[in-house]
Amino acid sequence: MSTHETDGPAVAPGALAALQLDALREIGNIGAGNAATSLSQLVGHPVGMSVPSVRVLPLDQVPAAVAGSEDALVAAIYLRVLGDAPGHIMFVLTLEDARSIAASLLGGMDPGTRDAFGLGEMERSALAEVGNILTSAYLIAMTQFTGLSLEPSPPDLGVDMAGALLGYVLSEVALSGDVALVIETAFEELDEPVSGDFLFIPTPAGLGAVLARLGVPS
Amino acid sequence: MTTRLAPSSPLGSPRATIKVGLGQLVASNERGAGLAALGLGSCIGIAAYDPEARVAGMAHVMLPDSTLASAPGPPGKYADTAVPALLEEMRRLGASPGRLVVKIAGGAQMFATAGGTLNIGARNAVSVRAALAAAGLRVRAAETGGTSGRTLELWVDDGRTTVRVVGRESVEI
Repeated sequence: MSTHETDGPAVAPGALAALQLDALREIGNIGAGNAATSLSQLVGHPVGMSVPSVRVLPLDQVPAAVAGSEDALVAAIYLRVLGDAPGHIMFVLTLEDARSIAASLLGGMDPGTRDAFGLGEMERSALAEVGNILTSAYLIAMTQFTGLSLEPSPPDLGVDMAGALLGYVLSEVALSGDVALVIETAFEELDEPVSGDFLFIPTPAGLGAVLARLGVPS
Repeated sequence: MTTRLAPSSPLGSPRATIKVGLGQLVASNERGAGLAALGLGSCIGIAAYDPEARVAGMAHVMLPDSTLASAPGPPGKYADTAVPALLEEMRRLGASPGRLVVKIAGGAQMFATAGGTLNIGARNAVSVRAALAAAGLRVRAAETGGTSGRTLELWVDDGRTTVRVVGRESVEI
């Protein structure tokens, strides 16, 4: 899968220094800037973004830190990052915001058969596509900046309790440690009261590769 | 009294419902208290209750097997280490393994396509059952598999155990 030689050793998120966290915030900023541009083209409104936060969180605290509570009902689009710096990406929205973005993307088209959460088939695929476009733009910017080859998997939409959806990623992270590095950016449609949280959670190997390319290896 | 084996979180202030987060396990004989594993996806919640001693225990298992992992982590994280650790915590509060009523929930597959071939939920369910059987415990009720998240709750006073899925009433198991 990797087209490059190994870029530095795996890095445990708990061992990161301030300089490294700054570098990761910067790369999150570059990725998210590109993603915001793509999203605003897609929705036809200006899209704003927060300064990315870079946090090292104990796994059991991640769902509440992202969604307020483990049992908060959310829509999440999940993509696996493949290539030189493997990791996970999740775009998390409240169900209302997911519905509102989906409806505006369809612009009056027939949403198709509705699921238990009131989302039509077409709306579900539109939301998955939003995750896909954001992620692709994010990864392209990262690739341009670092030279790392990064590919997203196809997107997958889930609507459920935040703990259940994030737990899927966290179980994999748990294989190599008890903390996760979460690079988080909030996107906000400036003309509409909707927003979503974009999370990038690199694996220890992915983290090592990114830091080596940024010139701040451990 | 409530004892908790937690990876990192400090004990919260005492409340009627005691949250059992990812990888944690909790035993309690506090009157009126409930134990809750919120938003179980591929994870499995194990609810164990001794009706005579009125001791409740819950684990929030994330992974099937501690030998798969490069990091040891807290015992509640893995099926094979969570079961003996949960029994030990409950025994300390006066529970007897021979009297335990055990119920489990979780083990769903939350994402169908992006997850690849590794169905952690199904593997967790198999491993939790195996670990319980190895400890001589029978599973009295199970709500596992499927594609929906679940919240598992267990009350200390009477051992009542419920499972809640988004958009549905909670049901007793």
